[in-house]
Parts: sequence; C-alpha cells; structure tokens
Amino acid sequence: MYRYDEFDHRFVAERTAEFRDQVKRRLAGSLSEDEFKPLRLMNGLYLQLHAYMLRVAIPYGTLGSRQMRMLAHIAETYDRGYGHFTTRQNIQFNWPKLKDVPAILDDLASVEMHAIQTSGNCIRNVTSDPLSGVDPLEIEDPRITAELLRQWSSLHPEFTFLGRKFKIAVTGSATDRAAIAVHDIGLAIVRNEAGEQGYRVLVGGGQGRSPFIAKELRAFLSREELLPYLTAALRVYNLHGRRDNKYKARIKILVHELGIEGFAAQVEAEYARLDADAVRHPEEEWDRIAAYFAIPDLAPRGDADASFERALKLDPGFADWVARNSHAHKITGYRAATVSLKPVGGIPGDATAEQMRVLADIAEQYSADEMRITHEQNIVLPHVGLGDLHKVYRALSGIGLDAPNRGLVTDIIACPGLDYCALATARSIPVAQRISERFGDTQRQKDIGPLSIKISGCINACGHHHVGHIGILGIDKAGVESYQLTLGGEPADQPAVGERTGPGFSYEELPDAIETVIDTYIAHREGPDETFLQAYRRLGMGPFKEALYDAA
Amino acid sequence: MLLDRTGVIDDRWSVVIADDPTPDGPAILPRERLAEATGRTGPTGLHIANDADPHDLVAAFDRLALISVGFPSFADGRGFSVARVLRELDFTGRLRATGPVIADQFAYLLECGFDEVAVPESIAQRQPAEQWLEQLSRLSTTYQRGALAGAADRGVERASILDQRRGASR
Amino acid sequence: MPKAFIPVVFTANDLVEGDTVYLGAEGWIRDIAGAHVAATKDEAEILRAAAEEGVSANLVIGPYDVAVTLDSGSPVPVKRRERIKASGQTTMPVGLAAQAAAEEIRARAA
Repeated sequence: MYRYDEFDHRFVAERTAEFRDQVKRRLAGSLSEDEFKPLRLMNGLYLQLHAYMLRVAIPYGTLGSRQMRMLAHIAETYDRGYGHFTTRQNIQFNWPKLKDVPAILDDLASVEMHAIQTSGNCIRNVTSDPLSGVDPLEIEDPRITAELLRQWSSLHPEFTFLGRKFKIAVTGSATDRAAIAVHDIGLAIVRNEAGEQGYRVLVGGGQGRSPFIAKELRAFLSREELLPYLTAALRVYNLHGRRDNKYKARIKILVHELGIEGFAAQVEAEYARLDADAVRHPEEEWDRIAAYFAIPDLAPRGDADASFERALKLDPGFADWVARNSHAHKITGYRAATVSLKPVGGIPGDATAEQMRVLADIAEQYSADEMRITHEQNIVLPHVGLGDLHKVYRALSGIGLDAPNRGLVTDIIACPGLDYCALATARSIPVAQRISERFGDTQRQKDIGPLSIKISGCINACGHHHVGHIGILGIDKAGVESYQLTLGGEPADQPAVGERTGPGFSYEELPDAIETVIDTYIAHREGPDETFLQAYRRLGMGPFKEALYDAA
Repeated sequence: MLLDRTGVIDDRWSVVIADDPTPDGPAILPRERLAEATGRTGPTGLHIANDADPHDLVAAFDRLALISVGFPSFADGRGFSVARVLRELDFTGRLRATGPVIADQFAYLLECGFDEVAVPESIAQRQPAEQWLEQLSRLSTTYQRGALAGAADRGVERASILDQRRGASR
Repeated sequence: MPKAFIPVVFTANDLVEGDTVYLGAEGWIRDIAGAHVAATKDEAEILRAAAEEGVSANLVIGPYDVAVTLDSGSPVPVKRRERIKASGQTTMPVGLAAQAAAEEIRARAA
C-alpha cells in the first residue's frame, strides 16, 4: 500500500489548514456562497437534501485497517454511526456539520487520507481495479499509475477550474473491472509488439443524461508520455469544452462534436507543442511508487488446505460464498474475497461503524492489513489464505455481511436517491431493498445466475443504470415516482448502453416488472449456462417487451 | 484593485473600451484593435477574451508589453490554459488576469504565468490584499513539474514535490 | 378565474450545521410545524425577502418556497421530496434500523 512521505504529509496538512481558513472566511462573509461552493466541493463537501455530505477519497479504493477504523471513528463522532461506500470507490458521510469538517479532515490526514477533489469541476479521484496486484492475469498493478495520477492531478494549477468534472480510470488486466469505457479518460495497461508496457487510451465515455461509450484516442502510449499526453488532452478540453451548458460540458460532448479524429488531432498538435520533458515524471518516482505496491509478504502456503476442504463440505453456506465471492490469487494458497455490502433487504454500500471496525480487524488478521472498495459498492479482502477463509466467513456472518451474492441479482448498485440527494427525482434505496427482498432466496439467485441491476434516482445516472444488465431510472412524473427500465447495458465486456423497454412503472409495480423480465429470461434461455446478458443479446428486446406490456 | 505577488500595486495602464480614443502612454486595447499597436507611442497592452487563440498573437508579441486575459467568472478556468500557452509560446511581457477571480486562486494564476490580477471592487472589499498574499504562502509545495521558464525570477516557483524527492534520494 | 394560490412555507439549510430549516415567526427553526405559512402571493413575497435576508446575514443557504397543504393547521408539503426533507429519510441501514427497533422495544417494555 502507498504510504505518505514527508511531502505528502505536508501537502495534505497545508490543504486542511487552507480549508479551515476558507470556512472561517465563509462564515465571516469574506467568501460568498457562490465562491465558497466550488472550494468546498473540491474538498468533498456537498450540501444535500437534509444536511452537508462529505465524500472522503479512498484512492483507487485501497485502504488499510487503521484507515477503516478512522472512518468508523468519524461515523460515530461526527455523523450518525454509518457511512456509504460509493461507485467511485469512495465513502460518503451523510450528516457532518460544516463547523466540524476541518476537524474531520485533520483526523483523516492523521491516517494519510483526505477529501481532495472528490467533487467539483476538476480531476476526480482516480479509480482502478479492486483486484489490482491479485489477479494472476494482470500485466501490471494499475495502482502505480493511479497514484502517479493522483499526485499529478492534485491541485493542478491549470486544471482545477475545468468546465465540468473529469474522471479517470485505470485497469491493468485483460478483464476490465474498472469500467474504463464509461470514464472521461480510460487507461488500459497493455504491451506493444516490442513488448514494452504502456497504455491504450480511451476518451469521452460517460453516463449521465447522454451516455457514451469511450473511443480510442491512442492505441499505445508509452509510460514516459503519460503525464505530458494527459496534460495536452486536458488542455484541449479546458480550452474548447463547452461552457455554455452544464449538461453539455463533459469531454464526451466535445469528443462527440469534434469526432474522435478531430479531437485526437487537436490533442496530438498540443502534445507536439508542449515541453514534454518538463512535465513527465522522473523514472525514480515511478520506482518509488511501484515499491509500495509490491505484493505483501505472505506466508507460503500449499495449494490445498485440509481445514478449508472440510469446511466446504460441512458448511454449505460457506461453499456458496467461496464459489461466488472468492477470486483467484497470484500467490498459491491465497484467495481474494468479496465482502458483499448487499445483505438481503439492506442499503447497497452502507456500513455501520461497528461493521467497519470488524472489517478492519478481519483485514488486519487475515488479509495483510488491506481492503479494497469496489465500484460495485462492495469490499474486497485481497489476500486471504485458504485456511483462513472459513474464519473470515464466520466473522462476516457475525456482522451480517456474509451474503454469497457477488454479481447476482441482489448485488444491486443504487445511488442515494431522493432519501438523501438534493438532485434526485425518485427514491432508489427503498427500490433496491424491495427487489433484494423479492429475490433474496440464495437458491433462486443461483438459478438466475450473473445479473446486474443498477438503479439511479435521476437522470444524472450516479447509479450507473445505463450499464446495468437491468437498469432502472427513477423520474418524477407529475409528482409521482415513475421507473423506466433499460435492458442489455454492460460497462466492460463489450460495453453497451442499455435499451429502454417502454413506458415506466410505478414504485408499487416495479418489483413485479423486474420479476417479469427475469421470468422471461429464464423461459427463453438456452440453458442455465446462458447468462441474462447473453440471452438478451441473442433475443433482443422483443420477448421482454411483449411480456412487460402485452399481457395487460 | 490591482495586485501582484507583492501586494497592491499602482495601475499605470488605461483600459480602452470599444471605440474610445486611445490615450498616449500605457494603454490596453481591445482585441479587435490590435492593428493600432503598430506606431503608437508608449507601451501597448491587449485585452483578450478567454476563448481567444494565443497562437494568433505570436506575430504581435514584440509590440505588446502586456496581455490582459478576461475571466468572466472565477469558475471559468479557460484563462489558466490561455496564460500557460502564452508563456509556452515565449510571451515575455506582463500577463494580467482581469475579472472576478478570487484570492483562493492567486497561486494557481501566478503559476500559470500571470504576473498580476485586476479584480473588481466588489471582490476587493470582501477579500483585501492580505487574503491574497496569505493564500500564496499557504501551500508551500506542488505535485506538478514543469514550472514555467522565469517562474523562479518572478518569485512564484513552488518546489515540485517530485523534484524535491529526486533531490533527497541523491 | 385566476388560479388559486397554493400556500407556501420557506425552507433552507443552516449554513453552519447544514440542517433543514424553515422560516418561522421568530426566525429559522428546525420543525416545519412552526413554519410561517404564506396564504397569498403577497405574503409569499414578504417571506421570500425575509428568507433572502437570512442569506445575506450568513445564517442559511439556498432558500426556496415549498408548496404545502394544511393538516389541522400544520403545513404538510405537497411534494414527496419536501416531505422527505421535512421528516427525514424513509430508510435506515439494516444495522441501525435493527438497533433502533430493539431500543424501541426496550423503551416500551420499561
């Protein structure tokens, strides 16, 4: 894991002092609310429906147990005893008071954390693969790149007042678990024909009210070119991205309007002009960061473990959980395990302070002191020995986080929706809870197989509904919540934006409508091995539309 | 209020608006009247909007002692890139940010190549010069490399953390 | 016939605390039950001016009017969003909900 050196410490401490002063100047009237708002947003502080909300950065989703314990402390001391892990691999606290935020930032800084650029029209927290450093098929740990970018993008003098937010994601494996095609810039670590490692660069992906799948900007970019090239791309966006309409200000619209060739030509021209040598990272810096992401010292283990095999036989719940929630590891005798934050009927991504503390204890004892937040709003324990998996499972059972549902119908992504969010037009969380209860039976979930449901409570699409196998968009229709369904969305494996089924459904009708979609899939699939997405791609919208609307 | 990194300074420039006659002495002309820069007596400046292309001005650099870049709002950050590009194109005259920028942006403005900011009185009343100077001293380091040529001379170069690390490891 | 005026109250968030507040007879208060209800357009404009003063005085942020109906004298927002803003979120994390339920049972037993 990355550790702060004296410079990182000083940087975050000075930033916290700056925010404390800004709060003081806001309360004294020196800063107007219009001026203060972007400044507080760049320190993660929103104003939501009921209260302020503080979004804390968890860079590329990686954190240790002392950091998780600090999050628990903050939840209890300054909030209402819980936090919400987000699709950006961050955590949100829903009830902080403005006057407490400087103290919260001090607490975070004491464990090498901050809330810098988790909001605002700037380069946001860089996201990555939750199985970084674990996946046997990985080319390179993407967190080295993500950390380099975190530093480069922090308080960048030229790119801190962009036209709109800017999100970068990095993946280092053939399997994309970072949804890079729906980011402003997506970086895939690749090898070229000469065997050199570099990046395939995508640009202009995004969700929101106009969803776009990113296009290729560069087939291969060498590592040395990364910072100068991104400087050129950001400069073109900063100068030419639209400023006249907030909803057309993301880079995806610029790329769309110029065409990918036109946009690429501008970036290459700017790149050719700028002084790349002055901007690029020193090689020593890469090596320094890379050293932090070496695989931790894991005790050697055999590739089989008798106690593990016994537990699999004796505890069917454990066997389900291992089959569904554990992942192959680079090191023999180890697995990564997904802790589902989607208990049946629960709020997707929420964890109480008590749950955070137990998770920290588990990570410390059984996972080399490390956790990862996933963009599906779950938590990965990256380094668990086979012989420890059952202990981990039992400890998770004790806090209600043992659901064996990763990637199944109840592993729902949902935005906070109307219950918290000032922008929402419909509730999301209660919808997720009702669907989760409807399909809660473990055997039924297994029968249905891999299926992602993603719910957004407004058109801004924070719940990623565009790329849900089943997407749900809640809107307000003359004062009544109405939920539109989309089918066939997918963020990574042949990325696609879902297609609308037709007219929306009421809050009450929605669980039945979802059940109709799923029953239609079951009735039409070629066999249990054909997933919902595969079946939809083969069948198209026809049978689903018929089942949803013609019966009535 | 006109400020540079030392605090409030006197403004010796007159700003020429629209079709007004150009006075003798230092005068900032609107972009459309660049042609008048030739043959004027006294230093000439030029005010450009933040969507102007800096490359179009290169040929006129030796006639311009100052370029003023307009900020319609502090949240519109195009001017940061405009200044940066002007400096990268070797504009060596004075660069002024004109408009309602705020004290919290002062260090960023200077680092992108501006020498001075001209803010409206409504901002100066709420954010006196002390707040601007305090902001400069607040953040002592930066993660970015590639400080502009001459930044050290202008006293705006904050040491890059990446370069400091490099120094420390040698 | 002119459209009938729907009564309104004014809401905002407290600048320092962030809490939902309503404009009452004695200033900004936490409970919508005590909110000053404007029954006419003119009354609403007077309240709006008072709400804007709260902004100038750095007491509140983002004031706006909320359409209400009167339920035995107490204002109840027309829109779901505003009902949620007035009475809190409709759902709680499982752990906390269970804890709250247990406390309620204990309180009732006591």
